[in-house]
Amino acid sequence: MRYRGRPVLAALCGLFTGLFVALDLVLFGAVQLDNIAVTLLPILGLVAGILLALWAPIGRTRADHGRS
Amino acid sequence: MTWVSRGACLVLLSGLVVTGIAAPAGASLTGGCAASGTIVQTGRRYDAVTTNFAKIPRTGDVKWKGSVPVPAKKRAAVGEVQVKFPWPVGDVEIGNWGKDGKQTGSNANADTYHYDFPALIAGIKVLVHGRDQEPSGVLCRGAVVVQIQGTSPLAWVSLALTVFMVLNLSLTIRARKVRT
Repeated sequence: MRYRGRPVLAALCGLFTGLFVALDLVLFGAVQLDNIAVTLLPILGLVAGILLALWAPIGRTRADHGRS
Repeated sequence: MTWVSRGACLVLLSGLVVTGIAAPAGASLTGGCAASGTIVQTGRRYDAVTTNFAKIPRTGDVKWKGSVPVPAKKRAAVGEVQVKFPWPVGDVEIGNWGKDGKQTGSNANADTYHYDFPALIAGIKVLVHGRDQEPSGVLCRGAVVVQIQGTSPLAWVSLALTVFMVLNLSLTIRARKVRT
């Protein structure tokens, strides 16, 4: 038995999280519209979502930690 | 493109339409061209050569003037004004002159330009840049970061959606048992 999250859903959620964070930064004027972060954040969100889902750090019991 | 339109583009290029806060950290208009403008509503005057960031009211009128360092004789000058979007979109042209083969005989212009931007784009910092190439070899380049005063209503929608997506993400990365 091993533990993991939902990688496909997490990838989608990560993608949109990155997208909306990028939109927040642009719409609140924190970065310029042409900033490379606007392109990179959705991609990073997607990758982070997959990796976090595979790692699945939330919801394990103390005894489960250390197992994958 | 008419000479008046060309002048309007020159204003955009030099940052006069978009001026609001002058930040003379470095020249933003090079090549010997000159431009300046005054926002009628606020009375503030801006020099395009030294302005590289501008925060402007969403609507207003700007009295502008511009010039190029060449004699006022018939010639084929070419130029354009572009807005820079993130990769992979890149530069998007919003105006040009001389590309249709029309010649100009003037080396300076002035007018009053009325602008009215939608509230949805308020607060966004946009890089506007452009150039004017004269047959004599004179090349003027200009760039300015423009920010319209206020906050877009889209910003609050985006913020709410960000929180919603973070909550969703935290649910999807919760551990569940998987049979190996």
